[in-house]
Amino acid sequence: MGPVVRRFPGHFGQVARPAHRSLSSTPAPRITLTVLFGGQAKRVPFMIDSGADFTILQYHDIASMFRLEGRDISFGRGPDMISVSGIGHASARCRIQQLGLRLRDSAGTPLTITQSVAIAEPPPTSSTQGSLWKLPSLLGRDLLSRFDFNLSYDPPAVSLTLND
Amino acid sequence: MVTDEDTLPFDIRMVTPGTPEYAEVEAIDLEAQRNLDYFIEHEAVLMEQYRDQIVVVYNGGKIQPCASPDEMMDFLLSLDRITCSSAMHFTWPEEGTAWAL
Repeated sequence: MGPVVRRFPGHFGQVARPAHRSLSSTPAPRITLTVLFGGQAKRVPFMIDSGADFTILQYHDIASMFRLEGRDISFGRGPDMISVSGIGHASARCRIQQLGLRLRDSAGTPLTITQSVAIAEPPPTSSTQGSLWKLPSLLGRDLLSRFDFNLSYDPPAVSLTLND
Repeated sequence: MVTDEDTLPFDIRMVTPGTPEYAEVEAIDLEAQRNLDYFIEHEAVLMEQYRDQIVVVYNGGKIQPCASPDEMMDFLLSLDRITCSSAMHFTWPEEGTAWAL
């Protein structure tokens, strides 16, 4: 029997009007994962970002999951806090947390990966940093490196492939 | 004062076919896929209409725009557990803003 190939499809986002008339916009590749913690699950759309060293979850994408579990995430000082540059114009503080990440292949069969991800501290509600809270969660190279990442704009196709 | 005692435990409990929550997580995934399918089909319209807000898609195609993360959290936690967990929310760069991630 030959190797089993499992394909996990993603999709492209819509193109927003470009920020400047001389710039063109290109749709961003996305993939949706189920984040697991305790007995809770939350489906989260990630932007695939091969420039990100590791996967970063925006707090607001999973906060409801922790609230349902009767917990919240602390961003106080501790050995599991790190600083990440490249999210907005300033560095962001992130808590490293082990979580389950579940993907579904094109046949509907789940694959769950347990690994550490960075959870970005949300900007204060009264923040002067504009709309940093709107940034999406990022699927970085730590997870991408487990798969073959297929990205094509013509024809449009986004997927992760696992060769068992 | 925040201490390390407030941090989350590192021994997460995974949901597998043997755990009681498995059927519920399966239901969440299926419902979330309906929400995602709806969103993909309608994203262009939703973006035009709600570009400066957060759009929550739930129940396979119901839309709740929210002005802030706090407002979204209040809305999500007002839903039943499976609807809350399967709801998906989306944002876009504001007009004149680009994301370089």
